[in-house]
Amino acid sequence: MTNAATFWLVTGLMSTTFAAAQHTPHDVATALANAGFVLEPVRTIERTLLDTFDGRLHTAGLRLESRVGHATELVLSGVDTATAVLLVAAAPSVTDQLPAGPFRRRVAEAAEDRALLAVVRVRTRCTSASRRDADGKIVAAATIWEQLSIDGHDGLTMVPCTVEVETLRGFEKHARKTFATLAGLGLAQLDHDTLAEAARVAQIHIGGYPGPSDIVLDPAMLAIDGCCEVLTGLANTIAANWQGTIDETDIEFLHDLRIAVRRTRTVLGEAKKVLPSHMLSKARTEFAQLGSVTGPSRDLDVYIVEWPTYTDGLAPDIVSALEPVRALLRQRQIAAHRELNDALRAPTTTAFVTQWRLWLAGPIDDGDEPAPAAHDPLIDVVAKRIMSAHTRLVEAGRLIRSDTPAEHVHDLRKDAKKLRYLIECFGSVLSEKPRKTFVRRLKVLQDNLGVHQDAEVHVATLREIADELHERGETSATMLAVGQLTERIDQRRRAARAEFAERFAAYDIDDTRDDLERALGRGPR
Amino acid sequence: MKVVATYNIKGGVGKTATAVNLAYEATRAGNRVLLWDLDPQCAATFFFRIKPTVKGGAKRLIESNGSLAAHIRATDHLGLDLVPADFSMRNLDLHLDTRKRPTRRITTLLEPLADQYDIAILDCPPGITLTSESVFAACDALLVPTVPTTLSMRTLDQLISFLADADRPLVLPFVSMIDRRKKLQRDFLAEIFERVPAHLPTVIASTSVIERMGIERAPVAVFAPRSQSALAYRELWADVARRLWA
Ligand SMILES: Nc1ncnc2c1ncn2[C@@H]1O[C@H](COP(=O)(O)OP(=O)(O)O)[C@@H](O)[C@H]1O
Ligand SMILES: [Mg+2]
Repeated sequence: MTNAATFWLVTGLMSTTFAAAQHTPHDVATALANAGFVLEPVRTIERTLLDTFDGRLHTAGLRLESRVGHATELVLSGVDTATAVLLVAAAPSVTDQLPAGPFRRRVAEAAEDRALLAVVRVRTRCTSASRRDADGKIVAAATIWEQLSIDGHDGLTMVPCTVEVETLRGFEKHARKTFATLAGLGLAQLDHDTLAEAARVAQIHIGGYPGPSDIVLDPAMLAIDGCCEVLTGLANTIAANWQGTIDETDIEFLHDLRIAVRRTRTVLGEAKKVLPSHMLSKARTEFAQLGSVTGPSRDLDVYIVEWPTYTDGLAPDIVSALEPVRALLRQRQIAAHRELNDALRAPTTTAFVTQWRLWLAGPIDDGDEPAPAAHDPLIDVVAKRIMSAHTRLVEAGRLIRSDTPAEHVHDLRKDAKKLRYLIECFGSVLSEKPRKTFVRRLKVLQDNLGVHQDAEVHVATLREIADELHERGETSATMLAVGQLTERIDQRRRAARAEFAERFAAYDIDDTRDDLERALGRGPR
Repeated sequence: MKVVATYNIKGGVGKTATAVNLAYEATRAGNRVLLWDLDPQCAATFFFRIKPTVKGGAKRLIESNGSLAAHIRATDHLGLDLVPADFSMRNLDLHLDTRKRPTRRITTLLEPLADQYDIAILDCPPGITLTSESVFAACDALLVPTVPTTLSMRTLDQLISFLADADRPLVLPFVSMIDRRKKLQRDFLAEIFERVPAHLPTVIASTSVIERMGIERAPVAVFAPRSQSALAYRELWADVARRLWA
């Protein structure tokens, strides 16, 4: 998917890039030499912009580049901050591979657990140039980059040569002089750097993969068009996360794929009166299936990642006694992923996803008779569906007492999720301020329901595992430890359940409904 | 941002040599480093070939609306910036003395830079003065180069007891300018290791490579990257980093 909206507008990285469309690197080198620069020998360097799949570093205002020549150098820069350079044996694919210290901490704070991927990679020949004063101090620095090729885009040609001029702190005057030299030669100043230019040419989106809120809808458009646009965005997200899920590049690919599937299911469920029935029923079956094959893998991913949190505070001997449990979970995780991959690779699955995307991309065939609300204004349909989802949630919530069976609480969680997904998918037709206030309240309720559900699932898993370990004749230390862990998580479940009434009461107030109505442009009652 | 200073009551013990080389090693380890030359002799400034000028002098730096940012100069090494000193820094104490809370001043000047750098290294003049007290207040750790003489062991003891109370910085002494060929100095090594448990394990020997910094005007790792001294400074930095980010 291409989205030309955001590229690096400001590099803000103390370097300014010039494009030499008409000049060879040699021309530029000569001009710099004439301006008093000393040129270093030419080196071959592979430059790679690294970021997470969803562009977390970019969002955090950071830029991480690896430069591979004789050595591998990582350059971390950002707006209003000094640049950090780190020599490494190899470019990292996850933050943990970096040595401990502030460099890693800054990358990790932005990337969290996501893998670092090559956003764009360019093979270059580079010449460093610097001018020194009488004391031998460098006062101006520039690098001439001759672009040889963009990785994976052999046919593409970008500007053959760029020049990056460093603005050295305290020597700004000299940088300006260098700008003038290059401008005098006829070079054009870019508003982004060389790698961003390569990304632009290759139509690679630097800000990471866009989420559903990036889709802007018109409240007045036909409901069917609006729904199809949202579904298209979700289908693209599913496709974009497919391979990363199969490869297990990081666990967020599966998570994002799964969320997109769930959102799709929500939209399909709410669009019964909008989408043509012939497509709807098939899509609902297929997405339900995708939803269920992704479930176990995701649950186990979370279990493994959160393991340190679950066991945090338990005595060390208990934690080590729990090792067989963790090992078993890990085994199950591997098995679940294998099963998931089989499903994702199955020709019927891929054929359906392709068919679905083609159907969404083509002209919509309403059949002889369009669905009853297909041609209503989008906002009307969205408002109706969201209001009724909210009403459903509130009515079901009011029936929950402290002794209501857990299933009802789980159903309530699903209701809340549906409402949230609807708001996220169609967010752009709601007015922003009341929408945000509303979502904030909903989120508090959802967090409570989420903790309850997760704990419940984990307790069930642990009980199953306990049985399995027991049958295998595991040591009593382990069995005892499982008991302790189960009790701990069950305590969390009970606490969440006890807190539910209060959380729900805080949601179930007139203000919530008013905000929602205002968000939907209806004004409060 | 962590703040450390190379400090000793005595002069000529390797404070500046340490500050300059550690700043360079910290940069190579992926940190954003600011080296601040507080000594009117401007030796650290000199080693990076930067002009020893402080616009408006120490007076303006210390005044209430003074800001450090305007004085920062890039060195020749990406990631390593320097605040130069000039001769007016000899009056730093006098100017500090005119302020209400003189010992807070260095902290206040560094605060706005906290997000821009991972570490600030302050190269101090010798003596216990108002400036050094302001440095103590700003620092997470003091790196104390200690030369192998009985006298310097005494000054170290003095310093440690002076800084013993309150939340004063971590004192990290290390042995500087040792000549291992001399038995007396080797004995000193044993003594400091035994008596000062907080000392850093790396020892900086007296070498001609380090002396050459004055001619080369660069950190040793730049002109003698494979020398034993370059290696020693890298290890010393690793010691410091372990203590700072433990
Ligand atoms: N380890 C060392 N080996 C040899 N010479 C050194 C060493 N450390 C410092 N010097 C030299 O000793 C002199 C004083 O060192 P310096 O770092 O300026 O001390 P200070 O800053 O404590 O006054 C300088 O000429 C310096 O080059
Ligand atoms: Mg000195």
